[in-house]
Amino acid sequence: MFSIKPIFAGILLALIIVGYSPVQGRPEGARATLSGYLRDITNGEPLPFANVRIMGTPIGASTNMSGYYAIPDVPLGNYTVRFSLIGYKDFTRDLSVDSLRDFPLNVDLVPKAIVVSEVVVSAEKIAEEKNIQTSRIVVQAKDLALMPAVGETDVFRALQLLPGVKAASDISSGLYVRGGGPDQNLILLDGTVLYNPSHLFGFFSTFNNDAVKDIELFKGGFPAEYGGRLSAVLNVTNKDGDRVSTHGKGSISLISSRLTGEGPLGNGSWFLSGRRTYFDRLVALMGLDKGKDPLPLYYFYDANGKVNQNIGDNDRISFVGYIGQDNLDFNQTDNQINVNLAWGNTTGAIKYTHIFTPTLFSNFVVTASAFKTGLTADFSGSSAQFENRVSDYSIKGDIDYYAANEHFIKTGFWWSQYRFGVVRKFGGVTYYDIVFRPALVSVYAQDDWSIDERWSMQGGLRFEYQDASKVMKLGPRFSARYNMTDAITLKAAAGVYYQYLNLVSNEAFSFFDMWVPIDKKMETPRSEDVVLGIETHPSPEYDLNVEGYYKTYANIAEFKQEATRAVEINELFDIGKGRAYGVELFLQKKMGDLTGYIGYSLAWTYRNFEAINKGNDYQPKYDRRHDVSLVASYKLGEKWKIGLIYTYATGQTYTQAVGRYLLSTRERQNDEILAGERYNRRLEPYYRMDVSITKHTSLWGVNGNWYIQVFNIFNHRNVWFKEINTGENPALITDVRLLPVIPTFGVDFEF
Amino acid sequence: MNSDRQLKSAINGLCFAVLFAAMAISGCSEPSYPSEYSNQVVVQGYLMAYQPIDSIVVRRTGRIDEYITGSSLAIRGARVIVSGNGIADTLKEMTGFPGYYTSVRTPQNIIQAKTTYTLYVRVPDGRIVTAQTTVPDTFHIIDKDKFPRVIHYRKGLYSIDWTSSNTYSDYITSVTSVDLSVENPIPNNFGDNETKPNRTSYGFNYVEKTHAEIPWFTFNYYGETALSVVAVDENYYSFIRQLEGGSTDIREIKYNVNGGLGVFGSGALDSLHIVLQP
Repeated sequence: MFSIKPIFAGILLALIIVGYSPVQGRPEGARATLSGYLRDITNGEPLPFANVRIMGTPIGASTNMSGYYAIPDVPLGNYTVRFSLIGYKDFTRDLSVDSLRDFPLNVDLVPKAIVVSEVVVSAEKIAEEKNIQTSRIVVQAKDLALMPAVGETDVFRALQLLPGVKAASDISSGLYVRGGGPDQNLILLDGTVLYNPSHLFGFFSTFNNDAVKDIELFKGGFPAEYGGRLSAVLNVTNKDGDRVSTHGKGSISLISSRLTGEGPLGNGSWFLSGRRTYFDRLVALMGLDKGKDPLPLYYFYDANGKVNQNIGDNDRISFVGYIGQDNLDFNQTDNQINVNLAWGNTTGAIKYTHIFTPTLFSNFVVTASAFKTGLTADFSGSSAQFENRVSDYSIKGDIDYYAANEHFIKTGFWWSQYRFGVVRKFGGVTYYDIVFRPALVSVYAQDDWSIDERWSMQGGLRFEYQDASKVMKLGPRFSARYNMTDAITLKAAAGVYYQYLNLVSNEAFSFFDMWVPIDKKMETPRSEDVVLGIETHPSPEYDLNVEGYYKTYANIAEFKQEATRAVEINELFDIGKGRAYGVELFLQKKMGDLTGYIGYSLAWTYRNFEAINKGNDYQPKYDRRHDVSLVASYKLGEKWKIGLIYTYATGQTYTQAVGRYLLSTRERQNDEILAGERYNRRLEPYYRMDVSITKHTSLWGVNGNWYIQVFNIFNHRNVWFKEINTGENPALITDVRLLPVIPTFGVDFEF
Repeated sequence: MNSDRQLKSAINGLCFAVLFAAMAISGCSEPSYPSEYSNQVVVQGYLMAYQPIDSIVVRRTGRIDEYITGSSLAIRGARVIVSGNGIADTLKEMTGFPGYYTSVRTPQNIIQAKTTYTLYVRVPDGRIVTAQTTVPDTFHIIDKDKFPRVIHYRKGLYSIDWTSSNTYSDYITSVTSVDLSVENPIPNNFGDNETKPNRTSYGFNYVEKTHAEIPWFTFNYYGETALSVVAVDENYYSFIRQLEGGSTDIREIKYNVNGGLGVFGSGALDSLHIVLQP
């Protein structure tokens, strides 16, 4: 196996030795620093990922997640500073730097409707929009709203259309990123970890599109500030709330209703958004929850809230909360059966932002995240209880240091205390009541080094210590960018990543998810990746990106169904390794009446476990050789929009049934299937087309949109899995198919 | 600037060329290489402490598209030996029961607790299957004599306690209707009155427990009923455990059998009999 660790160590050492020379020897305070916040003028929302550029110089910066930027070491002179972000009108400001002092400059950008006639994009502007990270995609919530969906626009379903991100099925919102499983993704909501980001047994994600502001996805090569997972990082930021005016919006669809309110509060803002499904109410209204064959009553709800307050110019505090709950009740009075399934996440965070100096920006966050899944059942006095709990209490801090124009240093820490609990009871007997309480401490440092106008690099190190396994790990990260021309950029990234949790789960059904920490008898799961990419801008309207990656996995775990007296955690799992590689293409049209993208990935994923498939390699279900997505939105005049999604993918792998045999216990007859080589067959190719039509309308002074969405318009029932019925003789093999055509409609309104 | 444009076109062209070449090489549909079915030997045997060997079943697997019965899969003429406690017992094929091999029941062939037994099977085509089990120690149901002989059926729980088996701590409970002379299924038992319920139903697995609350829905018939507790060995328990759970994948059971498939397990059993009345 290749090892990139020594290469990293050398590069990082070079960065540290060479990197700080421009800063050293400068008299303290002998600098002019331009700094401030970028906000949306209409609502005061901070604007992350925006660009600030001093024209005519190579000097510039990007805003961080809080919308803050700083440009140190600005020489004396007269300049024009330009602030830009896609979706907003550029803002320029003349600035006379006549002394070596701080120049605070907060800027409010004006959103614009993007039309072709407004497209005037210079090569210089394209260059400044480039980010050093590879495999990073930023999606704004307003872009998601145009995508067709089944009833609800969903963040995860939108991400599943990106090259390199795959789904297990139509009814699963799990993300399989570059050969990794859903448990290998770090999912953050406003900086707090979410452990089960799904509703309706995995059909929807927990993210309410009305509350989401930005989504940042790292498919690989992620920087040192993130860790604890092997495959990907999904960083979801909710809206802060409107600092200018109070208003709200709502939505009614066949599945759920949503309501959102926001407005100014003191020296800041508030934001509150919630949604609830009403399948249970409809069933109860029609009386279908009673009788001999009652339907279950199911609903889910979630709510997001945020309050922000500025305390002077340099301090800001935010209170963030999320609660989401799924609930299913099944009551059959004839047999006195009552079953309740309930699961959900609750998170809370207090975030404190302090600007020590214009070049020293900090965020400190105290977070709590809890995920609980529970089943209680009563069969006329025979009671059963099943409960899984994950609690995560964390303190973390991040410091951004704008050391020089050439160096942006970021460092931080993250301490987490976990509690994993599993309870199983039947009758009065407790079968399991297990609690694990591991802690994880992480410290990182990274440096963005702009070497010259063409070259820039980022080196980082992440140190992690988990007390249950008593292991200390060092994860080096590296990325580089080379601007070959104004329109062509080459990128590279590599990293080593560790994970300290394993998930016991069923890919078809996310309810019984159970997280288990690694212990000292287990080797730490580890992955290494190398990514190479080309970003091009063939024309101002188009981006074309191509990336290739190679990723290895070691010490990854697969839950053992046959685990018996598992008194040790390591006995629950088979341990193996894996590798994944592929090429991804992403052609995006960002401007004009027609916008959208084509994504294509050519990928291979392998797993190897000594105890599985006789120790031979196999390709897991989510290994899809070809995966093509077309996402388009067409603006038809001022009022109409048409959305279209088309996806095609190589069929999933499955294990073929080659034979059967009879094998009984003392208590019952049993007919078993003889499996062939694991996952060596493929289902038929998957394809689906969804369309949506949206009409903007205004009624009694209320603005809104009517929409009709048709999921799977060709009614092509893709195959989910092969079912083998041994009740028939010979055994009958049938295809179990996924969802048919599903039309839905609804209305959004603003007030 | 002109050279930049040329370079840009060249890079773009290269990207497309690489991608579409890769697509062409890999093909648009995935080749699926067939799995060859190969016939395997399946053994099934459960030794119970202080009981004679009931039977060892030797069969083959069948093709997935084959019509199968116990008889059609039976392997006849196999050499089956169970050895342990210093005795090698060569089993005989039972007349009228193809594939079933049993011991000549002598006191010496009674299975001993806390003893390791080895199964050796050689089928006529020369394939050999071996497996091993260690028989759990005995235990007994507490206050068996005080348990009421006649119980009136109610929807609730029936408690049962037992002493610990010193060697193993995994138990399963089962409820068996032993009065086969009458068909008297309990009505409205989970609403399943259209199909004939099983005579035996087994309860939950009890790891390191010596107490069970047997739920009412495991009773399917009125009349003479046996409540049993079995302390099971690792092989037996592992097999039962793997029969649980659901997935969209084929259940791939792992066995502790060399050269074939199946279970060679053991247990120690105690039971009490009740008469269940409406």
